[in-house]
Amino acid sequence: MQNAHPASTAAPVVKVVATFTPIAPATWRSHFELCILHYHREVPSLTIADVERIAALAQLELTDEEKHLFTRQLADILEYAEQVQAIDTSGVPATAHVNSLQRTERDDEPRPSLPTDEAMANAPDAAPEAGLFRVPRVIGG
Amino acid sequence: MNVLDATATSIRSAIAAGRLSATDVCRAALDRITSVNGSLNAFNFVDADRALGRAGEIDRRRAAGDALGPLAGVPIALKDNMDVRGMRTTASSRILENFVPPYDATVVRRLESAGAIIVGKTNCDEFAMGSSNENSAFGPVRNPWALDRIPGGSSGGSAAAVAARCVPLALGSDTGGSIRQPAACCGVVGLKPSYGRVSRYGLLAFASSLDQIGPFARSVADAAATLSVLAGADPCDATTANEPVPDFAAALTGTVNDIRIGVPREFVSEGVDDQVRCAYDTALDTLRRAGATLVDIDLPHAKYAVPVYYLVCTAEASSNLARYDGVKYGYRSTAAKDSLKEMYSRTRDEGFGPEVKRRIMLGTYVLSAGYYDAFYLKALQVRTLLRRDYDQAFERVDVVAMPTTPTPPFKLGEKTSDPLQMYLGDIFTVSANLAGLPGISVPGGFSNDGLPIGFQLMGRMFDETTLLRVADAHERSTEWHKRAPSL
Repeated sequence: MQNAHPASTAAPVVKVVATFTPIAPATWRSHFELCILHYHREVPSLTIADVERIAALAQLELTDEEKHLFTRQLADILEYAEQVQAIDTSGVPATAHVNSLQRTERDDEPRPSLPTDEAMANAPDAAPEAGLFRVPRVIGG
Repeated sequence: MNVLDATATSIRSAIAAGRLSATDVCRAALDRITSVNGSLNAFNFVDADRALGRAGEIDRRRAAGDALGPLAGVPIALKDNMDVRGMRTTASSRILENFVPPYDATVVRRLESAGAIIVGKTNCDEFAMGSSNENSAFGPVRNPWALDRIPGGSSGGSAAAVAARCVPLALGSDTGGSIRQPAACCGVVGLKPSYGRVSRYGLLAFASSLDQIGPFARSVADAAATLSVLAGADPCDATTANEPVPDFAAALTGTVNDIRIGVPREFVSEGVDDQVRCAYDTALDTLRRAGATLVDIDLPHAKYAVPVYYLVCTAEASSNLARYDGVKYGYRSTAAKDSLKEMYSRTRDEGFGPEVKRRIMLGTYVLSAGYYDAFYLKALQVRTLLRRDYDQAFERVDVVAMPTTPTPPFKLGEKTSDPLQMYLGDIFTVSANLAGLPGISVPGGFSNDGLPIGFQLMGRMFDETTLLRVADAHERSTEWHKRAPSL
């Protein structure tokens, strides 16, 4: 079972120890190092204000209940993910894509595409005769 | 022969030889779906008329003496995140509940040219985000081996449909294990091909540097035959590779005398259920006795694969899912009529489920100013280190063996309140996606409770031939794949 990763209801310091830590557990030295890691975290804990800011960036209108839930859950996940920050990656290039060396250009020739009415058939409020999507007011209002 | 117990390959042969009609096979599949789907909830949508129409065409072609494709008359189910023209694609999300795609995915064109009969679309985690199929807007799929257990996710409906003998084949998509993990949970074969092997044109994007389409089957030979149909470069997907596509099934010789299998003992030592470990050791021993050589390997960065994966996939998802805004397609909130911005945010709040929102939020956060370097860029660098681990391992071995999951399938509801615990279960599957490598989960045993346990093999980039050969040799030496759930 998942006994190496106890539930996230544990106290914060214990929680850091309990993740997939690269440092051998159960030694005083590693405990000391983890305390340092904990109190000098590069990223502070997540607050409700952070969650509201992210939700606005992501165009999500969250309920109060969702804001509280996500603040706790995202803080847990981020705290767990912080372990990657301890890895020495100096001089290591980033891998954004595993076959990025491949040539992807094609000849710039027009090809058949969907007719407008089919392309717009799924729109909640389309004006296909004008070739437009109707939306609420963009500026002001 | 009982047609629903037969493999795709034998169904195709029987149809070609005139011992079975495609129409009868299709009817049997549709009847089976009708009788078990109430218990399993594996299908979101079944199009019986379309399927029977296509099956009738196969029968007419055969009667006329026309050539039949390699999957002629074989019923297949597609995960509900792949487009079939005129058939709803929902991604098990409220935001796409009524979306009817105006075009076919490339895999759909390839399957239908090969004669396969698409019977319908299978339930999955919303936008393929989940490991238990509990994130579907249409309710969870249940495991055919034990209805109170998860079928795995995100392609849980496809895995359950194949295990329950509804169809001999199904397609899933695998971003961090979403084919292999449900295959393990449901006791079937699940193959994630190399990144770039199969076109994603017409697959709803989740994390574009990780997503890959692949087959579920009840034998390695069927998975191999299906991959030969699916694979190949596609001008509609610039990420597909210009690699030759061999006849994968022809390479299944049963011989592994020349094969060196990498065993990452240290990585597999922690947090693994005893019964899973026992099944893993048994599978390794089976292959050793068949002639393969076991080689201990070290994957020092594999233990970081879960955090790296969740930083990368959520970042990509937050960008990919920006397109669902209530304008071009899908659901639009009726509550907001006054401003465009309010319409966007209301639509997205009402249309997306909790896990999708959580991942969009996490991805937006790790890409935002001040956190990009510490989280996203760092994750991409560790991804490079992980790839190097595998590159080094593959200098010494031909395949790497791991369990597919750390535990047998858990109970529905067991982990829904703690997303981090759910994510940790992906430890053995996410590496293949981060490194782009092909991986396969095959039946590797059963727990004391009769729950399936998977055995996973990973191969070199674009070397599915060797991967499938080893998986097939394991299958030839075991009986696990012959068991069926008593549903």
